[in-house]
Amino acid sequence: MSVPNEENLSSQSQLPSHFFWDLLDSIIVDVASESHRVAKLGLDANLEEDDEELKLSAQARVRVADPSNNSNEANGKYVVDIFGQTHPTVANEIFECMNCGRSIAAGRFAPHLEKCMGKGRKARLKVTRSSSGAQNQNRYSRGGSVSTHTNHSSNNSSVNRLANGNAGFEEHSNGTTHP
Amino acid sequence: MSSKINGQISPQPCPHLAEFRRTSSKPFLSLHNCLRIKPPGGRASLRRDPHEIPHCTACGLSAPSRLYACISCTAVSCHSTATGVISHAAAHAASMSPGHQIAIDVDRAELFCCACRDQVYDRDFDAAVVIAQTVASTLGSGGESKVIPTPHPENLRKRRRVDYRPSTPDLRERSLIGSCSAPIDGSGRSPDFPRGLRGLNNLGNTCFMNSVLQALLHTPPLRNYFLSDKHNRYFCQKMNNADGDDSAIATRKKNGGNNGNKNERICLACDMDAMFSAVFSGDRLPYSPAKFLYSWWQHAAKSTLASYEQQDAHEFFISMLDGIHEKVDKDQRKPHSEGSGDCCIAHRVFSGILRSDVMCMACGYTSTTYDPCIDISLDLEPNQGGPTKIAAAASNHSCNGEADSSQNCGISTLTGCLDRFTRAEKLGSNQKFFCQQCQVKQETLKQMSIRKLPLVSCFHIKRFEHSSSKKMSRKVDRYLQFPFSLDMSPYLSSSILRSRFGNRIFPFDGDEPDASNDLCSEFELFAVVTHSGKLDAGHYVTYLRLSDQWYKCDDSWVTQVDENTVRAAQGYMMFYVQKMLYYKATDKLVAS
Repeated sequence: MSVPNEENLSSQSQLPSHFFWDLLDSIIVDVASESHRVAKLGLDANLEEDDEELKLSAQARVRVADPSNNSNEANGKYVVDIFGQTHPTVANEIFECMNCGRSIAAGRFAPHLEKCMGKGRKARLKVTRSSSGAQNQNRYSRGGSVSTHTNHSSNNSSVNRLANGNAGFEEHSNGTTHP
Repeated sequence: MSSKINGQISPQPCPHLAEFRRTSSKPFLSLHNCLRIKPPGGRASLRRDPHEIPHCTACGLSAPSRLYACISCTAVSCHSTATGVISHAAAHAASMSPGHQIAIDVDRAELFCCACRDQVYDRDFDAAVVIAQTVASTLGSGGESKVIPTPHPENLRKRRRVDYRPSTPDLRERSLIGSCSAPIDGSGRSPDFPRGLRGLNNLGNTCFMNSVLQALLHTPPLRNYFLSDKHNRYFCQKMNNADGDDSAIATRKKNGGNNGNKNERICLACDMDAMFSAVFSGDRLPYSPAKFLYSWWQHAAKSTLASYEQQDAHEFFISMLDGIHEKVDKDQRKPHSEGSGDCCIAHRVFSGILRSDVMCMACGYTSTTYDPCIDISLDLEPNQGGPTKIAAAASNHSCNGEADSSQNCGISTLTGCLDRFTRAEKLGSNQKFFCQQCQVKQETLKQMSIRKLPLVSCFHIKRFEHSSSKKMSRKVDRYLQFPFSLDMSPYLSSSILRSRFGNRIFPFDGDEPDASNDLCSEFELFAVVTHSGKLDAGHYVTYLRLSDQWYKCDDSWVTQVDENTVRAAQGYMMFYVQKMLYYKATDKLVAS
């Protein structure tokens, strides 16, 4: 198009750089404009409180990590509760089983009830000889243990729709409620 | 300085903008002819005709990145100061008669005052932009607008707000109270510790149940409901025995053996009522929730989804609320409207409504659905290489300053999880959705938001990962920061929609005319359920906040702890209550 000479060459080589800075400028103004609007309309009102909470949390973790601070529990064992009481490891309150009428100690009530209501036996019947591992584990190490919690929230009852990551979508067009 | 409408500050106009508004009859009216909307995001720009390339009238250049169109005479000027001391835009504003100071940024559709040299905001201008954006995204479908306030979703009936009034029994009620009840605490003085603080005996690996029960026993609306005798267990049982003898007999046969109470039907609400009475009685010896366990096991065994073997506290929570709902809902034979909470106390307290928007990436057409939800399960962010190291180092410094300091410090936060929950998510190309407008399957953008907040928000952190490929599960121990006070307004549908349309001043879905909307989105933490240990061998503990004092409930052991202990704990389920309610409840030690 134009006769290549020194001036043209230098201006042509500057073009990419020129475009880049224009684009960058445009992006910066985009962000500035959006942030300006957010600030002016008071949509970021909670920034300070959020920072404060973060700071408190960080401080708390430091304090708790320091072993000299934990006076409440001596070696992880409780001494007395706030009412001045102590409690045995296995709760020893005695009451009647509402299924069979026998007197059971509180701390052993759940295992008793399991057998009493026939659930334990049923579970045992279901287990075949080959699947020794998992099922038996479930029965004996029931701990305050936690079952596997899958990501398929939709498994839960219809009462709650745990929405995050719900499988599939809706094909309605209007704002109709989901059955 | 500025008024607050719909929870949003409406800034005062600058004098030039105010003057313009006063002198022109219908400002911005013809603007919609020039607003061009680029799908799918809906970014608005100003063009006289669609293919116009605007250029500065003064210097003829269209290259400068910011061009302003004067709203009085539509002359376009750039901001470059290459030719003189002041920019062409400023020169235009100064040289023309008054009324030419306000201009529109053609690429961003933002008002700019060349005299004040600052971006300014106007409600009518924003409304014009939003309407143009809405029309553009629903073109061809009959123009059904999703942005302009539509009728509320079916199950969201507006309740009339009433002011709190303390209960004042009349003469008849007072004599009834006097004859039919006796004071719990003979001395009449306030107890040293809050009522309702009582340990729960572990009945044999039942800490998953105890931890949730402790949180529920101190959930203000639930506590108030039961302590106000709204579900009287004697009355309920009597009603059950009166009708449905067949089912009573069937229940007895199913349970086998000798039932202690012959004609008793399972009612988890009745068992809760008994528990509340016992726990708030003033007796401080640990309570054994045996009857509750018995009833819940029977309920859990019935449903195919949960069995008694589930030991997860969160699953127990869902299951028992379902149990309360099922029984109460069946009795009342009322329409099953979970979202509004009309069906039972469980939903009245915990149920909110989530809004899901699916937007076509090609044309911007959005389809919306509403679903009730009883809690929100949140994913921890995926593990980025070495966050633990960063977090450990960062915890020794205070992270202050920037809004994204949590990212800098590498700490996961509850608000971060909520941000991710409400973030617009591009669905994969294998999940194409049929767009009503395009009439073909298109890629879509999905976004969740909260249409209606529940009275009590329960956040469940998904700490247990199941890997189907490795056939194993693992627990994520990563620390999650959670605030004691939480403002949920950024996650509301109105806020999410507003940000989608560029944060314009406009009443979006969910915005209510009354100012009390602000207070409704502020929540206070009152209970934290924590899990420590491994997946199959762990322990649940609940921290309770009563009268701004924290207590640790570890089965039968109730001890007092410092708030730092709670802040540093590994949260699994966090319970927040609407501040409006909470504020009243913490006035005294005695449960009000």
